[in-house]
Amino acid sequence: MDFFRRTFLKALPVMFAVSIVTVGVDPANLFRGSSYERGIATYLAQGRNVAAIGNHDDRLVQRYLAAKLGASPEVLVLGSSRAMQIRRNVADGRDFFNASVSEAALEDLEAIAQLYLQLEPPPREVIVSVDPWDLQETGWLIGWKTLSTERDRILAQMGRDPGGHWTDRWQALLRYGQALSPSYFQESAQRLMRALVDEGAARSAYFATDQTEFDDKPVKLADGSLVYDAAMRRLSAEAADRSALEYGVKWRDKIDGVSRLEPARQAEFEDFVGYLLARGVQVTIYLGPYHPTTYAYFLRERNLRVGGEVEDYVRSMAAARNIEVLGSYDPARAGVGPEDFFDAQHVRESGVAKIFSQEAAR
Amino acid sequence: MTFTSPLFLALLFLSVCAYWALPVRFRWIWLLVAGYLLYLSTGPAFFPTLLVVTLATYLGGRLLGARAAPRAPDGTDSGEARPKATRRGRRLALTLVVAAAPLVVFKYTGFVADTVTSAARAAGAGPDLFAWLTPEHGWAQTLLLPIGISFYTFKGMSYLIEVARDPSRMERSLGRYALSISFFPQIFAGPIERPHAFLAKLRVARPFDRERASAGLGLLASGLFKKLVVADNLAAAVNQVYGDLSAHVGLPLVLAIFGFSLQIYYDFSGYSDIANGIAQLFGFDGVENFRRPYFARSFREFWQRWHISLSTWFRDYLYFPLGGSRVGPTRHVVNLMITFVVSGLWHGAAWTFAFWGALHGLLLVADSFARPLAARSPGPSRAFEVAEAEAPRGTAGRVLRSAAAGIGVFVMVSVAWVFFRAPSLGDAIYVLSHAASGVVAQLGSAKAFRAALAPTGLTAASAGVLAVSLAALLVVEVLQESGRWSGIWSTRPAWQRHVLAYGMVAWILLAGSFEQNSFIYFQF
Repeated sequence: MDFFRRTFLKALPVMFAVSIVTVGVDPANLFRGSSYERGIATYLAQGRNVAAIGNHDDRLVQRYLAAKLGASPEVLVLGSSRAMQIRRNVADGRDFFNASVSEAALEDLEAIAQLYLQLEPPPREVIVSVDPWDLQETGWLIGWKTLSTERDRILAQMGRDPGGHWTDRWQALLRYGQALSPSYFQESAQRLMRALVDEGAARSAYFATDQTEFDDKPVKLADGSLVYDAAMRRLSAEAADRSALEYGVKWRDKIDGVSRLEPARQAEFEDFVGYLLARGVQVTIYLGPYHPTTYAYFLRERNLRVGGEVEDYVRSMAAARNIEVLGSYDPARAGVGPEDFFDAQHVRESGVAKIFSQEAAR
Repeated sequence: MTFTSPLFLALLFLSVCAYWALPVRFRWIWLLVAGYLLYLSTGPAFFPTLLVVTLATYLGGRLLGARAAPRAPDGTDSGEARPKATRRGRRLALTLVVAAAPLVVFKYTGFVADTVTSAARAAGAGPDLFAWLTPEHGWAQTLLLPIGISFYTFKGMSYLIEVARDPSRMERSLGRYALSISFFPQIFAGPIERPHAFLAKLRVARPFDRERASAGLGLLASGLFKKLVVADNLAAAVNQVYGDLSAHVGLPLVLAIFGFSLQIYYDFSGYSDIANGIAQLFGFDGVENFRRPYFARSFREFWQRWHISLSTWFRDYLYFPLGGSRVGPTRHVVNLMITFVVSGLWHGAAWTFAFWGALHGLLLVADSFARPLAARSPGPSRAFEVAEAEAPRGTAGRVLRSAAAGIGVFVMVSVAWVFFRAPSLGDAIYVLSHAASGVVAQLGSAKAFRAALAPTGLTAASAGVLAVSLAALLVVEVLQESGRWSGIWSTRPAWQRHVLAYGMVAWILLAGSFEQNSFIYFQF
């Protein structure tokens, strides 16, 4: 056993160095407590735009923001980063907030809905952005566990058993495991190198602003939607096309990691929509389109079986409940072109405008 | 959980510590449980197949090694008790069919049905009797190939053949036999260690050997380096090209051809190093699976160096029983072709793999027949090795000829890999027919060169990382090939070895790809 003790002792400096860099640089703010998210929520609650937000837990922002709001916005958007370009102008002058969070799963939609449904008055209309992965077991998406308490609460209200799953405390423990994660170490080391070479590249603090866009930093608008930095906004059509193809290759055998519809997830989704309707909320479903290159790739490789299945299912479910469906995973059906995309799956504001203008035309 | 994940490595460390802390009689049980738990972590649905193959081959072994009656009073074996040769042959055939049945069903039913259906459609024949089994009708969705099935099935089959040949190799303990099939470093992708060889190791008391454990750690680090730094970084560019072949001509295709050649070698030899390193940490000697195959100067030599545990399996259990080379020339060619086409289909149920195997069969046929011809011919057509043998050792001419032969083999093997990697035969032909298109223009200026390689996603930084890493591996392999590596390494002062080891770990952490890419051979 002496050999293994010595081996462990020899490995300690490596583990120490890795954890010093990851915890010290901490590009995703995993080890800094929640003051970062509270500050962002405070500015948003004051109706101000917030610029230069670094990596953060946007679920926590939603929790703190809902706690600061007296009443819910009239129109609420629930979704992932694919829905973050939906802005106030789609709400026809009504009070609007886009509560989309990155890498959202169905659990996020439920938990965030609970945050706003408990306000008085609750939202009148909820635009639910459905991604293909929402209808499959998404074990790889764990961000929602920050809001597991809220999700437990809404599941109970929906009459479903929350079941045993990880608690907030376990989620916090998982975060500390990132201190020894090689990929987080790489990200931290790169950030550190950039900061050493160029001081301006070091992480700057977020700030409230009246400006709606900057060249070198993204802005979270007061309506909850996102304006990317110039590098993303001015991405050429060729670069977007290349990115769309890379995305297709990555998920060659699946669409967004989804390979089949899960009946249990369908049932939970239907219960969720049914619960919103039962609370008197008007529900609109939004299907964010994929870049034409990505969509064509999926069609060629897999006949887009899962994407088509999800869309067909969502449309039939919505039709049975008289729910309006906007957009489509198919860009042609959604009425958008290559120029309306940042990359494979993130549609520009121009694309969103086209999708919602079709609704207005109807 | 893959062998390269930090969680696996942490659990491995704890598992090794617990193993050596346990009393000797419990250690094999610990290994068996660890193997089963690791296998279960890939998906409980696959586990019953492993159990079925284990049990079927164990019972088959008992059947083949059975002695129905006790020995005679004078202690001699009357021979009556043991099955006679013809009966044993029938029993062996039966048990092999039973053992291979899950592999055939899971891996080849869809392929056979698809082929028959396509042929029937092409011939305009009646209803598609087998269409319901083809992937487009959901076959692949409902019946997933259990991970490692090709490897553990071949282990079980070699056990049956060995017991049929020598009944004393029968193992009575089901638990120990199960361990020989599911020894966890080898369960996913080999090396295909013969169970009787593993069981022989198991019977020998193995006290903790510090030198073996140190060597195991070295192999583990070497495997992680090959996989994470080289293979996975190459995979990013290679997958980009193969993901949309029609969008590429010229240099990206050249990069894909030779990039995949290096990727698959460092992926699989990296896996084998990790597997052998782990085995050594548990006190077992590893099984050599790769011996610097791209240093081979003939195709025959290549197959003596590449995936050794599989090529010797096919040699011992297929090629030799067919007659090997001790038959007429025509039959010898047929034997080679059968062996290599079956080997191709073992890798994957698709015509691309069959073609890849057939191509290697042809190369080996050419190699086999060129050898005696070259030996007879004194002219310039003599094979490199003949000329090389005549040249004084260490002369420039010998080195150049040797290098030329090695490069020739590497190029041809890389061309053959195209059929292994491409999604279809048509795609493979596209790669080979368009690899030279526009290369001169793409090499015409630095700007054109960068523009040509941009779609592969290969940046200056990633190319630099790969170049440095490959150069380091090349230096080590040249020293290993010349037999000087172990001497150089072991005579270095401890501080120098520590600096190198820490440097290697740092390089893995900084330059490795940690996206949890699976090993290529896990799919077989």
